[in-house]
Amino acid sequence: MAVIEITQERRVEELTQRQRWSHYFVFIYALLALFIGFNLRSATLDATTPYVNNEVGIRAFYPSHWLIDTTSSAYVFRVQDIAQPGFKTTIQVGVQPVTANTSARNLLDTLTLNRANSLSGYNVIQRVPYTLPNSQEATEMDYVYVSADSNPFLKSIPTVVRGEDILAIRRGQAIIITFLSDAETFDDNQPVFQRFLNDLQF
Amino acid sequence: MSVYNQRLLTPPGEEEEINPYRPVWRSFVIENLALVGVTLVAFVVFGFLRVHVSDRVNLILNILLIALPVALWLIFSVWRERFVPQPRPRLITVFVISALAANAVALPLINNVFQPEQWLPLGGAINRIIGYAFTVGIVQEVIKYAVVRFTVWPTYFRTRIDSVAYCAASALGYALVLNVSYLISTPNATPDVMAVQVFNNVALNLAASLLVSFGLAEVSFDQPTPFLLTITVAFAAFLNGVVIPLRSGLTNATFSLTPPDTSTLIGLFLATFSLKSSTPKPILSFVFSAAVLAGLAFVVAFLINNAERQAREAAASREVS
Repeated sequence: MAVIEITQERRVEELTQRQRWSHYFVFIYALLALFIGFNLRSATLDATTPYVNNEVGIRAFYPSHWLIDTTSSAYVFRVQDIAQPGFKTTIQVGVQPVTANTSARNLLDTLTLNRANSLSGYNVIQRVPYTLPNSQEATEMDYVYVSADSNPFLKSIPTVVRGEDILAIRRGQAIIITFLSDAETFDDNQPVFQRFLNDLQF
Repeated sequence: MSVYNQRLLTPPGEEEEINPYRPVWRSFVIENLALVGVTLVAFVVFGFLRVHVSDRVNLILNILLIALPVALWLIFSVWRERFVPQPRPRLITVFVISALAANAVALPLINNVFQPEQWLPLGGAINRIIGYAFTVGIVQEVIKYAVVRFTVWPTYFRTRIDSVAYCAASALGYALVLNVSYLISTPNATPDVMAVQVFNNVALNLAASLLVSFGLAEVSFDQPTPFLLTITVAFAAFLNGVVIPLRSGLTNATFSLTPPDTSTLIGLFLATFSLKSSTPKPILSFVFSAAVLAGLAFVVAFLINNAERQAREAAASREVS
């Protein structure tokens, strides 16, 4: 017995050269557009603004969209990512004159004592030797503390902040480069700090 | 005596041509008008009259609002296909694969790799348009295009309007994932905000997909330049680039300081009121999205009708010669 299958008629014709190229062009364009998109992203996120302070002898490049503050006497300059929700990721550079007998350990101890009094839950994680991109020896100190918003009306939950100090002594002055970030986004933000260190000249 | 014989006087009536396919534009208009109506009702009830509901009811309403465009499409498009001689197959397949592709490829790529919210809000207007076009726009449109291309094109394309039906299915699948993603990220959004967000996502995806549908239809039935399809995809991505920042600009509240004239006493008095802020206006983005969708639908309908008319005329002239 013959079986007659009733199926819907379908267009199964061979694609023309023109049709094939139409689709190839879409995918070529998509790849190009994605490449442009990646470049735009990198160009915006990695764009930097130069900061030069001849008095102290610092030349740095900080992220373009970060806000710079040079008004405080506690540091030479400080830049903050104002677009960051919650705790604003911060890079701060401070300079301190030192005597020939002053060691990195003395300075870090002083910093720790001061911060333990002013910052809630301050705790040093580790101190390790660190080599700056210009091959200069330095010391790294990692720590955490809890940052609460000073405005009680905002009713915000305190943030655990992770910090990293890089301390180097050179020509009678100590330079302290501080990186502060919300502990949850620390690893994501650290490449920005690494780029900052790579471009820093002092 | 002469006898009136109607058969001799009236010309033989032409048999009405039966369209074997579901009219897509009618379903398209009905579905979107219904969506506009529900969005307006939600806006009036929850945004204007400020009716408050419990969290649980709020969540249920939000889920219903997300399901609404899909439900309307299932009723007025998919279900209506059953009543025509030649229904369009694989509409649901296109819808499901688009949703899966959006969830598995597009959203992770946009949220985890491009991360537009980290860098685009910082740029100027032109940068934002270009940025959104070359990241969110291109990913979104290529994903939807690829689903239609590799699922139903050209096997199930019998008329130009099929392209609109399949691209709309793809757009709704993609928009569904965007809406669900919005609900997951902001579960406490009020129904008026959710309704506007749902409509915005659906309208933008449909409008952009309509552009691509024209390109796919032309490549299928005509011999256009090989760049036409690319141009339609590029325009669709550019549409995303323009609409996303403009929509945000219209919705978000502004905070501005208008410098008063302090040289006079009145100016000094007015200086107190010179700092002006506004409240968020989601209704503006809703009107804007509706206008974009209506405008693009008219343009694409005109282009497709024009292409079909030209094809008919060309076929007729071939028959004559």
